[in-house]
Amino acid sequence: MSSPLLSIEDLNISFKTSKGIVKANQGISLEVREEEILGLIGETGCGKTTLGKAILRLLSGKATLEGKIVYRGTDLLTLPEKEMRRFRGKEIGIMLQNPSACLNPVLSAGSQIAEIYRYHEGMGKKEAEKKAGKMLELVGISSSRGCEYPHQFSGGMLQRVMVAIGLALRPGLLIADEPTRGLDTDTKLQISELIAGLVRKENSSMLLITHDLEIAGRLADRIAVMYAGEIVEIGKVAEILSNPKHPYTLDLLHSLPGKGFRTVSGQPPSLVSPPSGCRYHPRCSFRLEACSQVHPALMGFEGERLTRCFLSEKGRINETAAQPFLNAQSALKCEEE
Amino acid sequence: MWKYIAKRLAMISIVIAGVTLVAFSAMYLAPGDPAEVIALARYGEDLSASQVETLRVAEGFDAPVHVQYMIWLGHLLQLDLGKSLVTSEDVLTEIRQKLPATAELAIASLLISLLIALPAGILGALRKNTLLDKSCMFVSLVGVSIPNFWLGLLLIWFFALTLHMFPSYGYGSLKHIVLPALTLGTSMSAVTARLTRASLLEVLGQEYIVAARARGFDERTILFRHALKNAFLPVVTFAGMQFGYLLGGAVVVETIFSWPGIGKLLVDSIFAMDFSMVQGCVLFIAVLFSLSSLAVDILYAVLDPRIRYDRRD
Ligand SMILES: Nc1ncnc2c1ncn2[C@@H]1O[C@H](COP(=O)(O)OP(=O)(O)OP(=O)(O)O)[C@@H](O)[C@H]1O
Ligand SMILES: [Mg+2]
Repeated sequence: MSSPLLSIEDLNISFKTSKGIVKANQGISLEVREEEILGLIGETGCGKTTLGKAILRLLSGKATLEGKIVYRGTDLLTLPEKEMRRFRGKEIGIMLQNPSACLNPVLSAGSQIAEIYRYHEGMGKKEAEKKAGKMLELVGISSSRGCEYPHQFSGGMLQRVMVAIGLALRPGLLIADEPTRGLDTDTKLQISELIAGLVRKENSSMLLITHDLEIAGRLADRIAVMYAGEIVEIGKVAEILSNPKHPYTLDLLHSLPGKGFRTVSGQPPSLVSPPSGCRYHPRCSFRLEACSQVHPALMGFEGERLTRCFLSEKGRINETAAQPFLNAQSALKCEEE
Repeated sequence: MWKYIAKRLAMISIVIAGVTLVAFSAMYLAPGDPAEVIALARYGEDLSASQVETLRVAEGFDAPVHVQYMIWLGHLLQLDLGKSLVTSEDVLTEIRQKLPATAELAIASLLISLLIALPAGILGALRKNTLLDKSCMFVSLVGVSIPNFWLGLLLIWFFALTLHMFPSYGYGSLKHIVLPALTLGTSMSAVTARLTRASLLEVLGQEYIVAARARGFDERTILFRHALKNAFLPVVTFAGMQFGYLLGGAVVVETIFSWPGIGKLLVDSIFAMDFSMVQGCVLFIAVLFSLSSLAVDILYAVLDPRIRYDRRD
């Protein structure tokens, strides 16, 4: 088993808002290992971006963070701001959600890459521009387009620029937040393969945040499933897809296009006053008496799998495996591999 | 970019065409028969009816109004704004002589206002809700609410009459420009500072600032490279429009400080019923204002690539 590059220990994040305290992340414990792609999936608003930004301490002042975020032995949460800057971009690159908002509209794409080299590596203007051009070519954009401005690029191209920026300093870890959202199917595949290819080539690791289970399934080594600010299940991709232990993961699988496209029923819960007991119990079709009262812990069983569900303790494995669609799913997965 | 400028120019021509109409009709909107009013100004109280009629024919007031307008436009196209009805000086020459004073005052005021407003606005945004920010914004609120004539009088009372540091009126030396420029500059800076602060605050809340921070840049780099260029966009527009407005002569301040600029010329001509001079001034001010707004638009396009390049579809 490879050692962790990043390990998050019992992280709690809350935002003070006028509607109350939003508990966006609760008791998150995760690790991203060397040369690993970890997929983080979950429905909108469950706290994925919050976690991604928290790793680089990019959340606004309204956020309160508790816990540990350890990168290669350094707890990032205890660093002074100045030290923290050395980790941003250089050790950990991040592609924030929504590239058109993340690129400065009045600076050309090329110069936004070049400035990274000028700032961090003290390069001259010419040299930095040349290197930026190379980076653009690497992500599949002609370097002659470096002088163009963000509004002149299509969504897919913008995402490529984000990849170039995120990987500019060859970070050990890339956090990619929804890199395929809003793209058509072909572009989605191209972009995701591009990112994963570059990350693998550099022997880096990636935290791939997405609500797209298909993309996560294709690229990731392991998947962590988030629900209402908590991790509800973590495991190897093949295990998660073929044999989900948590009912939420199961429902997510149902919602895949070819798998019935049945969206998870019910409303996403409030993060200000989350449901008592298991967060998922109001929407869960397997719920037991205890589920609404007792909060289940994230329990490990068989191999590396962790699940936050009472049912899994009672050997629900067989129950789910008996479902016909899941067998189809696992067959499909085996074929691919 | 050129298409953009051409479009602006076309719009400006339409505006100026409209202004000629307004400037021309000013003479007819004023009470009384223009021929009579002019004759009164020229010959005094004891004028005869025949004198008025002679003047009416001589100045072309007997023709139908639209014909008069066409004739006037014809002269205008040859840059002939006519002669002053009071002093018989050439209108354009007169205006040109007043322009330097007005331009000097406009530039000095703009400089003063930016020197105060930009640092105050930027500091206010960076130290949001601190005592420093709040006092800056309070002062600027006071600045916004004090009318120019009142501030001008206060400055005269304090710096000229009490401290005898600067002359209270007149034109000629650097000392003369201080008080009028301070009056205009400080009152302009009040709004500009608030605008700068608000605009910078908005920019600092944008996701691309977080993204820049995520690349490991320090706050200084983020401010100067990523935030200010965006934050200045509305400030440039506002300051540019103010400048255009000042170039047309700051009527109140020029009058208070007897500053021999276009604003004072306009006021004096109105009191003297010097219609052709008023027409000339109004037209000149409108053209200057339009040109400076064109300059602002061009500057905006230089700063904002989203305007400079048409979106490629
Ligand atoms: N700065 C903030 N202030 C207050 N609340 C916030 C802030 N940022 C996020 N939240 C809240 O935290 C919760 C989690 O948000 P987050 O953006 O992490 O979700 P997400 O999983 O990334 O969703 P999406 O898939 O839509 O990107 C949401 O309820 C959101 O409203
Ligand atoms: Mg998100």
